[in-house]
Amino acid sequence: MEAINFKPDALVTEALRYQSKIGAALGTLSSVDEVHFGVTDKEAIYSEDKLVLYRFRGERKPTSKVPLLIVYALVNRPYMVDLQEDRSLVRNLLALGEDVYLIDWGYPDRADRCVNLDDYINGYIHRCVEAVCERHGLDRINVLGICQGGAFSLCYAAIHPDKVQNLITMVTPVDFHTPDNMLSHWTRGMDVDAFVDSLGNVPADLMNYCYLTLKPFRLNHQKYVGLVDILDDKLELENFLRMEKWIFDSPDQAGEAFRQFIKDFYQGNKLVKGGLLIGEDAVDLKNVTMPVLNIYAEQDHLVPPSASIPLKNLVGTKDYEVLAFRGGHIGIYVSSRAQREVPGAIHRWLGERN
Amino acid sequence: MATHKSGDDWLKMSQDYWRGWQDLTQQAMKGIQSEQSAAPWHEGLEQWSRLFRGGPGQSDMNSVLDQLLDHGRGYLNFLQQVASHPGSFGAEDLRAAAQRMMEELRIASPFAQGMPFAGSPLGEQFATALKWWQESVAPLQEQSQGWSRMPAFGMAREYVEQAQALSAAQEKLKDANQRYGALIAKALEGGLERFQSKLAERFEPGARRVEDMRGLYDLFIDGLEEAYAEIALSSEFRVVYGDLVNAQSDLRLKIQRVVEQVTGSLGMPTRSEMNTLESRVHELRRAAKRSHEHPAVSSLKAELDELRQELAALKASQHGAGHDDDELPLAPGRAAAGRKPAVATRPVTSVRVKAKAESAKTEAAKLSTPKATPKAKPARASSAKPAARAATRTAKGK
Repeated sequence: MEAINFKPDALVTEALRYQSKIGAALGTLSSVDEVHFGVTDKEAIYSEDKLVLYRFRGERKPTSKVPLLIVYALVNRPYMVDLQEDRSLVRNLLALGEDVYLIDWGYPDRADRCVNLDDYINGYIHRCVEAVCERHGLDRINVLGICQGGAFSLCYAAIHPDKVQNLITMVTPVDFHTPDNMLSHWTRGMDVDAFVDSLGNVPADLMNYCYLTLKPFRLNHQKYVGLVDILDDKLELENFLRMEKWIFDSPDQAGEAFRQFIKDFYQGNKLVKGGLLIGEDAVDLKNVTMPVLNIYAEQDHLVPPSASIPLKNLVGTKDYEVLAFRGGHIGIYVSSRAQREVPGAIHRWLGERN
Repeated sequence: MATHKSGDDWLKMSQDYWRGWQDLTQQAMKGIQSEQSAAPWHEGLEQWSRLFRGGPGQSDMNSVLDQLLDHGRGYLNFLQQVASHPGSFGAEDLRAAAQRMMEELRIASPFAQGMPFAGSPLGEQFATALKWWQESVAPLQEQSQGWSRMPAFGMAREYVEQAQALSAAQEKLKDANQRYGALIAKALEGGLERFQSKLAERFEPGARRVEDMRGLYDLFIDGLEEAYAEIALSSEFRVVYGDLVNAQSDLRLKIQRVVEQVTGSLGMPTRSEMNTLESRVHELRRAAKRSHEHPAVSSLKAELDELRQELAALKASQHGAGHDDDELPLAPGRAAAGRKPAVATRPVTSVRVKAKAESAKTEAAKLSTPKATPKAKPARASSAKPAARAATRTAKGK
């Protein structure tokens, strides 16, 4: 039996097909419109340094009495949750009646080199929570932490349990020492002090380099070979370019915050092992006593499921629910399945508890 | 089902390809050479590139074009390599084609120079610094082999030691780079093995066959990724990767130190000075925020609001009693000047106001001496904390 089920002549056909797609693409590329993102109306309600706290405006008034604050990661831009009209977690949550706020961290520069995790968690996040509470006359609100923002939200909820009514964590790393966590594996031999001391802030290009080398052949080659299949489709091409924009539009990382995050989370695994200090506050996840919904992605190569799942046994709440999403770290925001499944699940879960 | 091909067949295939390519492009351009059977297949991409490349003002478009074509070249080379084996689609032939493709991937991948961050702006900066070092200091090193291990003495001993350390750091980086490169090469070789074994699986009866050329390419990428992941998650890779990153950091720090000495001697501000200032400014801002959110300040603010309200109420009541605004209560200077103090008409309120003013002074004094309130919770004491949180606080400063 032959392993290959096509004739050598098919090679010529494939080469010509590929060439013709490239040719069509060159026409499409020159006619592609400027890529826009962050489609939902929003107003800035609080700002501090480079941070801006936004409130999104839906087409109808929110029906939820308790607003939801999204805490995104520092390592990418938060417009991933509102990428385009038909791929927007925010838009879908608004349509379901949620009142959605989002922290935009901005782009740290060298002047922000000293901003540390205490500043982010007990400073910026806390003041944003206070601003939302004050606006609504509430003592506590719902918090949705995403990826690294989920780890920050866990710390915040453990230190300030009186400020969080319900906590949702999405693709959030908790156990950083699972055997399939490549990023964690690489960082554990690093002298992070020398690294940060020599760089100041950690450049976004360097961060992106690390992410691309997690799957170097798929992300640097196969992805672009596959791109030819959509090159003659203007809409699909725009979607692709929007995603490319998001992937590479990354902020530099404030040096001190990066130093502590690598030391305490990636190297020390202190969310699991204990001993984590944010400023002068010890983080004990047993203090996370509010209801928790933990959403992870089954094919996540950045935050493997094994890194998220252990949260269940670490938090102090008795009201814990987990949602496994069939997709990857990015698909959980932008795939069609995500639009169908994730916002509805969040809304239902919150509705049962607000 | 695959069929066997002779060298003549291969020539014919290439001619077919170029004939097809000519058909594709004839509407866009004229005069493509007809005798191109020996040319690489990706030459077609170069012609697209020449055809669509924009002028000097269209650098973005050209950049996109280059990226697109770069990846296309690798894929087309793979196709051509597979097609160029006239015997059959046997596993060995495909392995040979994959070997060539791997070289393409290696060039296109971030591992091109065997060093993380190569190709990025950071890599370029680092390369510039290294070049400077190699041009200015390394020649000295070559002149006196072994000098880097000799003890230094005299006036210049610190500088000699510094140069020796720089030289050692460069050697260390070179060594780390080689070890990293060796592991990447091992991963690539492993990728070929995986590809071959994946192909072998497809020869098994009942196995799913590769249906098209893209499927074959995907199988190759799967093999590479699997082999790379195995290496990248190994304990050896962790050590080598860490050593490489640390060697880069170390060399960067040492080069920065030399640059600082040079710029400092010219009276220019240095990075160390900037770092010190940044840290001090940051601490000042943190202290200011802590003070602003200190419970005593919240308490003072609340009292101030209350005082304002009472003052407004007093004003309003005095208006009602026919007093002029100039004769407000609590204006000691005026009272001392012989005017009848308004407090006389509101004795009870006046006492309360004074008491609050004293309280405010005391709180202000506490604030100015933070050590006097070691248990005060800085930055977030506007609401009472539950017992759970209090229990988590460490003894440090609590």
